[in-house]
Amino acid sequence: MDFQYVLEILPYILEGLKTTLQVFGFTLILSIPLGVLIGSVQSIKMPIINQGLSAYTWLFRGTPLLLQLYFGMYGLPAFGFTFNRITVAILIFTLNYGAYFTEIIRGSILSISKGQTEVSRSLGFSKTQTFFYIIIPQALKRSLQSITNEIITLVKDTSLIAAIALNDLLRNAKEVVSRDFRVEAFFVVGAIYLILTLFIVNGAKKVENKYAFYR
Amino acid sequence: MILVENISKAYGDKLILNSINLQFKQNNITVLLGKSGEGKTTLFRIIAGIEDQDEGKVIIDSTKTTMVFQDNQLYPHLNVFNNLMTPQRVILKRTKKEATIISDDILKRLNIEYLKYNTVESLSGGEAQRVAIARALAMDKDIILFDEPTSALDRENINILIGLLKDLKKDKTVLIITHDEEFSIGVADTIYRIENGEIKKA
Repeated sequence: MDFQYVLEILPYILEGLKTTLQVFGFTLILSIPLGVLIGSVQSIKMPIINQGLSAYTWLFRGTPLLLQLYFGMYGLPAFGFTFNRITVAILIFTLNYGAYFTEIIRGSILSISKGQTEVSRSLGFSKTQTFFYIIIPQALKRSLQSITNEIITLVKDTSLIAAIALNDLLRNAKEVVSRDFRVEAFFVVGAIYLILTLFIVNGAKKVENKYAFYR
Repeated sequence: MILVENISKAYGDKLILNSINLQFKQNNITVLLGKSGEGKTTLFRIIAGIEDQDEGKVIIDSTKTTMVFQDNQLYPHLNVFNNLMTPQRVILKRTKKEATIISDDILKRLNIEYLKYNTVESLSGGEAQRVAIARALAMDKDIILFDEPTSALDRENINILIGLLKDLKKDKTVLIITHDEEFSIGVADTIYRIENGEIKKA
């Protein structure tokens, strides 16, 4: 590999990394709380609200993310909503990943034994206290592995934003490849994705160890 | 004092409890003895307020009552110490210092100080049960209900438990449901037998 050449193309590729990290970071910060919130609400029995929320997760899990991005970019303006590209990307990614996180959290909450609620109520916890001090911490712990998997997928899914003409990591690399007729750029972005994933896996391990006692 | 008056309960066509009347005295250990399927768990859950009866009423000050479950239901996301601390801090609003003193004292009383920083997962059946009892005691209630407390214990641990319960009744009302006849005789001041949803004083 020609390192001189790699150093030459690196700044442009890293420019793309900025966009990738922007979409990744905002999506992460927004979609996890969204998933926890909606997943929590869904675990309580409220038929009409739950039907609406089920429709949301069905819609966003049931259609391709790419289609959702197109809709955000070209469909929303038809209804009078116009955002810049990066906002559309973050909005759609948040809603999409929020739907997955919702299902993960909801499943974890429902998997916690009824006895935990009963014993909490018998000790004197209110319903709300039981939820926040007993159920949610356990549910989050149980979700950790699935959430990590989703976060890794999210890093790679960010490459889809190229479809709405955002210059992310992969798109910039591809431009370099088409311009120079050399493939080094692909190796470089491959390495960058791997490094990002490594960070996530290690971060997740740290979180898991911190809250490790049990299972 | 707990009063159970004319409690009846049916699941579908099947009558589980038929007009039950009971009285539990203060500073006493009362045992409800019965085989499984005789309705004692249902009665227990009604007394504890977890389930609703079809008829009759239970007179009990639920703010003064707590229960220890058959499967203990410790909080797996908290260590032993925090299983005692969190309910005290959140429900009783005790300061960290107060709650620590009380927790340490109870762990010592039950001879489980050595488990203080253990995870719930690492506890044996007997240890987990003592932690569950410790957690209930820390809440400082007058009435403690026990659901099948011997089910996961060997003889040695049952004897420890009997000693503990006898110690408890000095300042508490204790109600136990169990199918363990030998244990009942060893621990109870009053035994009620429950058969086919009806009570017979033993």
